Amino acid sequence: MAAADLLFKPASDLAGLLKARKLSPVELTRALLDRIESVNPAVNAFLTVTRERALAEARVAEQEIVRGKYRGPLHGIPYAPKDLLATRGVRTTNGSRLTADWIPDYESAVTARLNQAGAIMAGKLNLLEFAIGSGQRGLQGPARNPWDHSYSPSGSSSGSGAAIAAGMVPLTVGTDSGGSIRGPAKSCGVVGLKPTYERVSRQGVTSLSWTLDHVGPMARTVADCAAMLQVMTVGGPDYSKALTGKVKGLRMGVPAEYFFDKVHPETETALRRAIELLKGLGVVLVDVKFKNAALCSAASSVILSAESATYHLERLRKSPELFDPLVRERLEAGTFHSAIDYIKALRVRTVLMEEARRIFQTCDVLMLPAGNAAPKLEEETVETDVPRDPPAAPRPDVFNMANVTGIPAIVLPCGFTAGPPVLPLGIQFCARHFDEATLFRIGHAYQMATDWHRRTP
Amino acid sequence: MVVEGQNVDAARNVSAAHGVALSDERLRVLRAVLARRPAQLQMLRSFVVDDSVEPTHGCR
Repeated sequence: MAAADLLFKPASDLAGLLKARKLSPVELTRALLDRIESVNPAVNAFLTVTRERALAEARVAEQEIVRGKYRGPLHGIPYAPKDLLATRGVRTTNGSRLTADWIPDYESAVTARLNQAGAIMAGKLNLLEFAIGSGQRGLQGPARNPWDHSYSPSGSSSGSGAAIAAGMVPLTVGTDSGGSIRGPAKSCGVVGLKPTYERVSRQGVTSLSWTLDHVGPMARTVADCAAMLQVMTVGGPDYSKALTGKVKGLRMGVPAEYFFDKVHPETETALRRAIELLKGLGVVLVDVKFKNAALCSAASSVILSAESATYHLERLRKSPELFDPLVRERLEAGTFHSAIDYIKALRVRTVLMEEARRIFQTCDVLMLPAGNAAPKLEEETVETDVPRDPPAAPRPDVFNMANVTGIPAIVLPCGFTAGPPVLPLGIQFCARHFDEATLFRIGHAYQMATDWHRRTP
Repeated sequence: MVVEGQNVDAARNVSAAHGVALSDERLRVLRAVLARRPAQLQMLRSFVVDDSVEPTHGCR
């Protein structure tokens, strides 16, 4: 099989070829490593490429499969984690000069499970510094959007989105404390899942905000995300059973206000088209109102700011100059929060979670925008270390609700801008706590009825 | 939170209490960041929460 034919295939297709021995893990891994070597100078999705290690693991996988020891749907499939996940013996930078040379002597729980399932780590992915930095800077410069290199892939899991869209690897791992998986998924035209809080272990993942951090899969298809989550977790349901393509009778709540307030007309058109398509598949629309939606952003802002400043306090005391100026500024600002504000935010979180529970008594899934198309990289530039006015715009608040309430949320492509440039647009679904299966059910049905996820830059 | 340099000495003392020494120059840099927070903070502070509501750290 020609190498070019492998680059944009979903992992599920590749798994079928590997299991049937029509494709060798070595052939696949070599094709993807060559692709990384070819396009990474422009896309900058990878901070570290573990070529020799990956080829060695591919040879082991090849021997195992030939001997009939097939481990499952990730066996022999290359993947890459955001460089916020500790990897034993492999540099883990967190995208920061402060940890640029850190080589952990332990493995994160997630990468350990993926490795155990036979997935092959191809390297470590670019990100915004400590998952809070600027889109313009970074340890080795910013990752770029494969659809147009002058545009941002969004962050903070910037490399995780860009690597899939550029055909470098079919599977990646990201983290999401306020949209950091879902934003890049939207901007790069791939699928990103933020699971329920604590559904996936955070062990071995550098913290940004302990109570908002989530680790999740990113891939070309919903089915691939389901296969990844199956491996990344312990004791979950069989997610493959949700991939039926049937959604008749599923109740989908669409909030009439707030979340759609800042949606670009082009995005809104794509979302309305998706709603009509889902209605045609049998989904039942339900009007819902999240009356305290605006508080999600306020509460998560205080929580993230206070927790991240606490986590990095020693580094702020000892080596503030080693942080990117924007990261330093955000963390220093976090030291000004009072305990009373922080605890109030945690109590408001209780109220917001109760409101989410009430909403999910009337619907099975909530549909939200995933923000507008990717911004130009230069628009993300923030001049720091100088007094400035007006301040930088706050993050889009279509994402914070799922972080502050802990409910699962998935983003998948639902169209493109008319262009130029032609850039992906995304749709977001949320569900009850620990009901990722419903997200897979509706997302897979949507992808079976559309071809947005099959388009490539 | 001490707001946007209305009281620079107080702001400096808050940061010093955490062992983070912020010079007047750093406080001027932070002014814009702190300036955009009062609106969100005010929304949070003015939201009335029933006495029975306890803080939640995760999703349970």
